[in-house]
Amino acid sequence: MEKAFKRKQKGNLARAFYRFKKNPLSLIGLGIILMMASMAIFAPFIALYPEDAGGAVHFKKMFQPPSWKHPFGTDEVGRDAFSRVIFGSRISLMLGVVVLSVAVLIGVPLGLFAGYFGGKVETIIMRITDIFLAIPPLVLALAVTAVLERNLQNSMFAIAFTWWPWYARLVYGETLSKKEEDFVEVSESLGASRLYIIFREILPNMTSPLLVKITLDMGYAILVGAALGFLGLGAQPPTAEWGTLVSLGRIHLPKMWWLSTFSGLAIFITVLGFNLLGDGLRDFFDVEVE
Amino acid sequence: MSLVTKRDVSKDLIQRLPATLELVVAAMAIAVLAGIPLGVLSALHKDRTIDQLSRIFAFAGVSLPRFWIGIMFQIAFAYSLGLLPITGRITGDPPAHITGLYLLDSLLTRDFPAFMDSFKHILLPSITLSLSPLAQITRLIRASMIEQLRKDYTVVSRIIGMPENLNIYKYMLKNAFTATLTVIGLLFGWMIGNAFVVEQVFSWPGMARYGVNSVLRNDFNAVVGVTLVIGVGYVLINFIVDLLYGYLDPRIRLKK
Repeated sequence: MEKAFKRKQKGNLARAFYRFKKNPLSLIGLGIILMMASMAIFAPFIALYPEDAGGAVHFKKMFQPPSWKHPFGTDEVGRDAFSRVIFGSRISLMLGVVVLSVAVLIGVPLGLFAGYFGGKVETIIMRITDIFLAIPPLVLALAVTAVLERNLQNSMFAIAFTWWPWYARLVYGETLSKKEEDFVEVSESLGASRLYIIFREILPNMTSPLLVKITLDMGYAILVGAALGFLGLGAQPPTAEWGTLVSLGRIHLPKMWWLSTFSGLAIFITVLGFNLLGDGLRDFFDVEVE
Repeated sequence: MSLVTKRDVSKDLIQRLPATLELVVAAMAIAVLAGIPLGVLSALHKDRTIDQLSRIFAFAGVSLPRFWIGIMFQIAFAYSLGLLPITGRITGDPPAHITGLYLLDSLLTRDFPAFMDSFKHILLPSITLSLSPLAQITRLIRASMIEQLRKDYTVVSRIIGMPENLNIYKYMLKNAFTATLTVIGLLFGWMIGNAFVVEQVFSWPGMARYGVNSVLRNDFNAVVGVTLVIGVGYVLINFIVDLLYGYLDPRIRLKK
């Protein structure tokens, strides 16, 4: 019987992959994400001038337009813009991963507790969540960075701080419907502990909406992170962060158009990749996530 | 008291609020006025070329970094073609102060040159701000219209020969709009957040730009003021949205 079950599972996986393959857009999205991830991992080998990612200075070759030697041109102190964009992928992807890990680690348990226990726990957790949701995320993140020192870690913290309530609310809603189902009642009558039911019975049943939301949010978190960087509230120069690069390049517009253009394009393509994949996953799991 | 300008934060805010309001309302108007026909068109031509184009546009719209596309617009329409001004709200003096909304003020005082001028100024920032909401509204209207197209009443009104346009715009769209309305309330919040970035790019003298500068100068009183005003405004907008439901859906209005 175990064998039959395994075969069936394999059949499901194959069918799932077939369905996934039928949507070329999500495959493109996956391709983009894999490309960006390998760019981030192998940055020192892809970048033509790895030392330019930091505060190197080559005054002899400043403000060169794109050429074969410098595909994206050079900046105000002669650093290779291409290398800086490549290294920027590390920061943006890390920011996305860190922000969402924190948001999920805080939001998911809170949502589960609020939904499962109900009563006072629910009131306290969900009202706090409502307060956070009453202020647009980017505004709240800005307000948080105002009290902190301006650097990359703090901007990640600020974004994560505004992000967890969305997960609390999503998980809360899912928990409310899941806890009425038979399998929960069965484990309750078998004497399973509450924590066991919450984390081993209810949580695994909401993996697909969570996965879809995390994928879509990776893109949005990267956008917000880049926006903070652009406003000068995130990573500080000379760190090569995409939003910061756009903002630094803007000073030299319109003549040195290449500085802002390519780093912005990198943000766009990365976010597009996560959106395409997230949308494909949503169709694939057939779930509704706001 | 602001720690930097040494003025009442509330005075600073009142002075700058109309600019942000004008920008956000203009952007929302573009998003709604363009999003509805686009969504209806996509739904009527589901899976054909128009629909595919609007799908691609929607993906691009939500993925574009606001500040970057704003800069690209500046390069294209302002620097290269010289069609539109690069930054600011108006050239020269603003129209007589009535509401602080330049477009409205200039119309009220029949100052048409000022109207055209501020119209040109607001065009690029508001389009920049409207792209992502426009994409989301298009997709939502499309999804709900496709649902309405399958409903019995649509089939019946087609059979009895009701003009297709009347059917689409008077009956189906009204039903399809309810879901979109919720999102419009949320999108206002999104827009206010992104106004911070767009105002910075276009040197728009609004509250959001004031907020950013206050953060950069560690002017904490001003930051609290800005956040508070935005929080209250956001809650108010969502309250108005709740009231509008009643207008669109009598079932909600009549429920006791």
